[in-house]
Amino acid sequence: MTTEPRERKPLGREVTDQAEGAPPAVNALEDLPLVKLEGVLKRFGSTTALRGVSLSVDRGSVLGLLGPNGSGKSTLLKTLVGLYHPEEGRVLIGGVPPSGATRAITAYVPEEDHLYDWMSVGGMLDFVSRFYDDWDAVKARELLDFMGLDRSARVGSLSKGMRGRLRLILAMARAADLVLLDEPLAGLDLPSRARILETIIGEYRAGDQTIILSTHEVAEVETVFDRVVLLQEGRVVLDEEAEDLRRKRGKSVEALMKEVFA
Amino acid sequence: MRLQFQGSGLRRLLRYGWALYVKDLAMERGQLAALSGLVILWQLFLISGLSHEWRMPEPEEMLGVGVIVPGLLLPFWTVFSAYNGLRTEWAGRHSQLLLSLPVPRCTLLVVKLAVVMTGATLLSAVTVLGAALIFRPNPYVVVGLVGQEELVPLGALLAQGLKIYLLFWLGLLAGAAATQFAYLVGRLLPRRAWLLNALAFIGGLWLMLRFGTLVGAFSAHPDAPWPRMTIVWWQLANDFLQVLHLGINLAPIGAALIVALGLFLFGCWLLDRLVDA
Repeated sequence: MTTEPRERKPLGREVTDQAEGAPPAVNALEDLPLVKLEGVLKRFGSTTALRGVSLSVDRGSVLGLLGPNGSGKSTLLKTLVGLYHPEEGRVLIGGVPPSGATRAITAYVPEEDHLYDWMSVGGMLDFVSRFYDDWDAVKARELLDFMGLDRSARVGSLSKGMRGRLRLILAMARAADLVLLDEPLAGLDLPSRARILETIIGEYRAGDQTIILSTHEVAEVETVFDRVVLLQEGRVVLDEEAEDLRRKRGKSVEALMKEVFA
Repeated sequence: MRLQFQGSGLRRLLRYGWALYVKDLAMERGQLAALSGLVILWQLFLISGLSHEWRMPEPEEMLGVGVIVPGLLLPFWTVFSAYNGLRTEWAGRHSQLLLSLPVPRCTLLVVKLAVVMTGATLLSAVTVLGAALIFRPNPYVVVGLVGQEELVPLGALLAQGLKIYLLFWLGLLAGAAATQFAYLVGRLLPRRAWLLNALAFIGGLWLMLRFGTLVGAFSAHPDAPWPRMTIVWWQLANDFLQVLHLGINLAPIGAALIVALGLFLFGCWLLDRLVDA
């Protein structure tokens, strides 16, 4: 799978004049990375999931967060959403710590199935849509058709692959500035993987949206990455531009990953 | 260039709250329907004559047993419902969806409390309306023992019962808040959370009772400007029907509710700052 080189554009809905009665613009972000972590440490009992992770992600890029199972990828993404609270360090989204305001510009697809079985597909979409100004109902309908999901179907009756597709629609039907995808392909059948990948690439607003995609299955997605971060036992062991990595080292991301984690 | 965050505001908050309330109520509807059915079945059992095998109830007794037994179970259901409302979100990993929404996390707890209290009020209403329709009580209720009886208008009894129910309802609310707090404290420990749950719940109730008792001691002073609620009740003494005016000092109840509010706000803080999804 190949992708066309993307044109770089500044990220965010540009606000030149604050309209009267409009929601407040929280920050001026010209010089700030969209995502910044400084010395983030997260423990679960006696297990340390993140060991002083520092990282910054610029607007309009696609970051591949790679590593074996248990390397801290999911914990890092959950920390960005504010689902996990680090013991030490600082997490900033658009210059502010995770909060309701940052969650409004963040679309998060967890690895775990967080859907309500008793809801219908349409009900699930309607429920989530009520919380976001950037929800695009037309896009949601198009994605439903593309993914082959029936609005009236009960979520509990969907297969694992279909549920994965629905989770992705909940995120991609929005025009979120930051999209966090946690193992969106894990454990899914080939048709579901193809549909999901196609959606991620097709819906990506080049230069206008930042995607952090965590996975340990690199082969299918490595061409979409602008930058690659390798995590091992909660530490960043490699952080490089994907193109530099291929050019300088003459290796694919997958090959490098195999080498690092061998 | 500035990144535009979604705004806040009361209208937006109410919209979020309503969406969550409808969702939570839909989750509870099966349980509420089943419990309402059980209450009605219990009342039908009492009037059917099947219960007469072990005791022949008087109409007033049937009315009392038909209403009081479900009423006594209501606090247990309230605690269960407040606990289960949060537990199911974490057990089903829905907490990852809810906590990733752009909603102040206190809103999630307020909505859960509102749903529990809606359920408690609905079950109370079913109990009373069921009793009224099934037992069809006389407009006058017998007060006293056999041979020493007087009649009291049912409407007057109900009016006083409503006042007592209001206090009972506030007690349920405080209990639900303490339960939520206990659940969130338990989430802080990866293991033996149930122990922390139990300790936090007992500790929360103890604080409410203790604080209430202390304020009660202060309010015993005759000049203390604490509000009181008067309940009118009837009893037979020396063949005469006496009307009693029972004054209930609201200060200890208010104090206990302030503690419950404190526990609730502490729970909001825990959910916002310490509890993981």
